Amino acid sequence: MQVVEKLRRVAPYAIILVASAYLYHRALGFDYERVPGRIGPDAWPRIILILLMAICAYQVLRLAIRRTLHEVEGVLQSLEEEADPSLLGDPQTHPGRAWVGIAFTFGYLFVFEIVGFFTATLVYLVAMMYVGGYRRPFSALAIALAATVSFVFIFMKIVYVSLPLGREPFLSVSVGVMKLLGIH
Amino acid sequence: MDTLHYLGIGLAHIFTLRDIAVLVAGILVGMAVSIMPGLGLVMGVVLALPFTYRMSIEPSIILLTAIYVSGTYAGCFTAILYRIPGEPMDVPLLWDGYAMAQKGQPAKALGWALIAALTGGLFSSAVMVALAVPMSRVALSFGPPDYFAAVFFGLTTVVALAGTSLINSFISLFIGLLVATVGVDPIYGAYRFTFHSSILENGVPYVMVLVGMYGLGEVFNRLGQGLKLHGQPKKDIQIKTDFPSLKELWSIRRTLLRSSVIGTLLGIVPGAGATVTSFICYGIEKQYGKRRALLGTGLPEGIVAPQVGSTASVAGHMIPLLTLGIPGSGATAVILAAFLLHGVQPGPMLFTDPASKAVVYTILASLFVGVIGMCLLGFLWIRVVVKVLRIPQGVLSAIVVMFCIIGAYANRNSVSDVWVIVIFGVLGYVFEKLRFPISPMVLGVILGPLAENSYMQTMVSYHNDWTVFFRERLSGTLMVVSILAMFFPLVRHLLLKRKRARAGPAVQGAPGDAASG
Repeated sequence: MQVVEKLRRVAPYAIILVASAYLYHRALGFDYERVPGRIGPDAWPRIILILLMAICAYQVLRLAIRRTLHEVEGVLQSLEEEADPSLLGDPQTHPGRAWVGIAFTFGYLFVFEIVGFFTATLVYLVAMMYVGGYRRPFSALAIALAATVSFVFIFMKIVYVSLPLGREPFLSVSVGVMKLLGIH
Repeated sequence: MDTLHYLGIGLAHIFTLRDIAVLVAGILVGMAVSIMPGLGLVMGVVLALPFTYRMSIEPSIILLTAIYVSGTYAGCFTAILYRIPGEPMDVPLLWDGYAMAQKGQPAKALGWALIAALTGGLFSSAVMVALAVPMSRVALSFGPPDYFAAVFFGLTTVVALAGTSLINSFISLFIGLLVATVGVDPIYGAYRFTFHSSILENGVPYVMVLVGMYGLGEVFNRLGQGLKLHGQPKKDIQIKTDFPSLKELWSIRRTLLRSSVIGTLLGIVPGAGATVTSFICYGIEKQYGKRRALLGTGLPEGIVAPQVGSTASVAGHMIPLLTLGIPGSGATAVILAAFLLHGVQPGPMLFTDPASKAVVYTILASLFVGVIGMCLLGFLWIRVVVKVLRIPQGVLSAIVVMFCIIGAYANRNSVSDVWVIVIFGVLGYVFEKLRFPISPMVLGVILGPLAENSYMQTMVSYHNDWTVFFRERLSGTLMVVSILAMFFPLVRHLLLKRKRARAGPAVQGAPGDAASG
């Protein structure tokens, strides 16, 4: 159990360490015309990557060797310790909701240009409200409709942003909404 | 005299219909976002950024600074009345503010907060106007090593002050600096970390990193927390503001002055945002205040010190931004982004050209008017403003996500920008989950190109001799101060550890000792 816990704590630093090593290898292969006596475009990224690898390696070793760690905190963190923790933010009690929200957002981006801004946003807003714990379907639909129409009006009519209209049959829906709002 | 002349021009500009409308809108938005837990003033300026794309530079910056300054004030309403801090910066204010409200004096507590915000805001705005020109003159004499040292100072203080763990802060900063290197190198034209993707050739747009990490990331984080609201707005509570008498004001003059000075000075230091300043001002009051033993029981000093500090820090932050082009906080990073989106590079040159000087002084004047305006609106519309708490959190987060997405899309009508903000939104959520602070990464992305350019120029000018950073007087001083700032948390940690060890095992379980990696 302790090994699993240790691995869980080491993992983020180990992943960053491996990724940095890979990027360092890539940096060595930057293609450019070398000027004698002058540092190239790889110098700055390599400095950063060396520092990043060093600090990650240090943290991986610390976490692997020592049983408990007393982390050096930033000033803000040590100041905030006087406060009631519940006032400063809640623990991640519903991580599943966050990942479902992320999945919905990726889904929205995939269909955004196909079904058009209006239809995609309407559905997405209802879905996000549901994920956020708002469980009144008719009210959610009404709010989503009002918000989507407002977004279309503000961004297409006032700020002049060309939002995607989608493909048929969704294109007809988008155009219909635009006509209703007086957007040409 | 020249300063006052330009400030007068700025004041005349600000009282045009367009600028005053933008200022009032900014104040109201700032108030609304700072009251809602999970939004906050940085989110407010991030969400307002897309609306500035089509504006000219002057109203854009006025809008964003008005959100920033009023965002430091309005959180006091819900903190004092309902014990709901809109942001961490409101927590110290709540200790005495809520206690005073519980004693049956909520209107008085709000009055103290208003006076504090007004004093801190006006004091630091005056200091900012006085320091802007001298600072810009100093900045004009900066060579590449000095610029590098100034950026280095900014980045190290952000790491030392803002983070939950020093190591995680450094990792966050290095990742940000690395993201800034993606794209075609401006000197050699070399492709760096583009992986044959045409999207990455132009680099990662820092605005998208800002919107993704501060906007979307925060919404995902709040979803993971279950979107809870601590405490509920009570309907029976009396919502009005009572001002303290002149005699009462005179009795806390030292607190007002001390916190105004500390708030402004800390504001100038990158990384010491409104939250750090608020906590430090309260801590200093607890250490040196005349009635320090009674702090926490509902004393005006406990409300005034943190409120003065947080509002004063805003103008303090604007000084390095306007004179050096170096942002010290998330909100000023967004304001810098707005400047750059309009093709204006903040820095000493802003104070040399008469046309840009007029714009800068209008922005400075807007801070004075904004501070007075926010207090006036807070006094008159407090009942309306606190009603935003009734908006269901699920609805609010869905709307915020949409603002982020459309904001990203509106910049260049490009879906790839939306992908970038979603990717950085997920990264922001992962960072929050793993307790990696976001600010160092964001500032790394924004200041990375400036740091790299000044580093490269120095290396070319001084034949790859890096010791020049320590040999030149100004850069040497800044580098030494930066290194001291970097090691300050470590030294503090070791001293506290020794103190606790001496105090014996009874104190071993005290807060702060258990922080683990």
